[in-house]
Amino acid sequence: MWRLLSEELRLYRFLLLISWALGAAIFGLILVMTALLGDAKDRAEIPTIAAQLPLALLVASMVAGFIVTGTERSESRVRMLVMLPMSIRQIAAARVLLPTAMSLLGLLVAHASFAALLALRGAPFPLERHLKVDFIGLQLLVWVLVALVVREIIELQKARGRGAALVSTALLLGAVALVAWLELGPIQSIALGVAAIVALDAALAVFAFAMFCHRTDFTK
Amino acid sequence: MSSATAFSLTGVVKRYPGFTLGPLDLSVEPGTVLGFIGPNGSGKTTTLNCIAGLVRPDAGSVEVFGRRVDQGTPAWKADLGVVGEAHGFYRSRTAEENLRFLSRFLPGWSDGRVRRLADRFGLPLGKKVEQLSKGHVAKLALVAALGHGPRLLLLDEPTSGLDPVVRAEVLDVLWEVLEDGEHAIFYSTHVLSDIARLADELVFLREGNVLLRSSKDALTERWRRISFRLADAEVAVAGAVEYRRVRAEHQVVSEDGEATLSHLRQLGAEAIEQSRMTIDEIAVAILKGSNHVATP
Repeated sequence: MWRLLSEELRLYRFLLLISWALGAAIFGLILVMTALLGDAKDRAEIPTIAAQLPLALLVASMVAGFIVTGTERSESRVRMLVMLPMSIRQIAAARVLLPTAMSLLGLLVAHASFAALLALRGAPFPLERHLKVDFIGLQLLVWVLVALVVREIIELQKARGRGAALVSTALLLGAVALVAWLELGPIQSIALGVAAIVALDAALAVFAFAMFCHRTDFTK
Repeated sequence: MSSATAFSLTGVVKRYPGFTLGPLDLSVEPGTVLGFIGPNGSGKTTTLNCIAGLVRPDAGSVEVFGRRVDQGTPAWKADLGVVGEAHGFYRSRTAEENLRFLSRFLPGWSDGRVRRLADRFGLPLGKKVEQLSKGHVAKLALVAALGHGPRLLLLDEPTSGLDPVVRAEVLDVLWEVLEDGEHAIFYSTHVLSDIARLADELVFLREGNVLLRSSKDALTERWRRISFRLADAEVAVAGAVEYRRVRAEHQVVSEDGEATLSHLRQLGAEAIEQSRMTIDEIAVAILKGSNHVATP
């Protein structure tokens, strides 16, 4: 499983790097436009806006995760992976961990860039602000994992009909409702909020893993 | 030399809305090329996918070289090479990167073998898969399937998209694969001339069921196109699966040429002429007819 994960990460490393570069470039363009077209008040806000760079990197990682999930479907990757001499559980784990690892790498880079930006401004970077980066990054990971689960629900519907996928669909909708609720900020402690999102990420990952293991068709 | 059956399907059933494959019982010995023939939607690809573990049957079991096809215990996969309707390659990476990816997982992978095959096929390994022509992707799929020297090759339309020269080259390579007598090939195609060259045995499939299994030689030996003259307006001839009358001449397609000829002589037929049939003609006659049952 780890070998498959590392080999796929190696194949997708350029995608991840290009996503980050594009994310940072678009963000940089916004800053330049603000400096050129904004008024004095806008220009005064540029250092504050610049501190949002980690968000751009997190979104870029999520986009990379979506691309990986989408190309897996469009290129019938599962078909090739299932023919490798590995158990279906190992393959299921690797395909859930790949977009997760990409998102977590994005989180790492986001933390590093956030720390660098705050250090440049001479501002302290308390743990709470880093936890906010985690909260946002892990929320974005939820959507990547939701895409994986949706894929499995579609496969289940194809194999066994819509009725068979009702429970899975209800669980997924429950997870989406939960993340929407968490985004409204009902949990005051940021640490608890991060813990809740981690739990949701883990639940979705296990859900996608289990559904893949129970597939009856691996041709796509 | 292994004594295990290359693959066996026992009571395999796979149900889809509007289509059921099987129950299917089929086995192939090492050193055999099994040609799988049937119209679109007859279950050829589903059968191949069941053997490859890509589709889980609703009933029955599949074994590859004595090992049960089970996604929980993957050892059987090392004996298998598959070229199917889709390949699963990383299209944004080069052919070489895709092959290197596979080499990390497949025991028995030989870079030398892969390089030889790629050279022989004129495969541009440095090109991204998305830049390769359909024919080149088909060649890459075959190279990838042969890279680890599998003992069982499952081929679903492997020469689709290839020009006649490369198709001949592919068939040459498959011949070489078979040389040691330990390999088996399951070959599903519409290009019956490929089957005619390679296959030892033929299985005819229609609507998910085996109509007939026979050795290729027995088929070409037995099946005949026979014409004759007889005073009777219509006549029931032994072994005939097709009959038509053109003015005074009767024409039949016979699945048992000798029986038909013997019967015609008894009936007093005159101007009897017979000709052998190609595999294409036999396949069409079998798949059009309905009076065949699977041989045990």
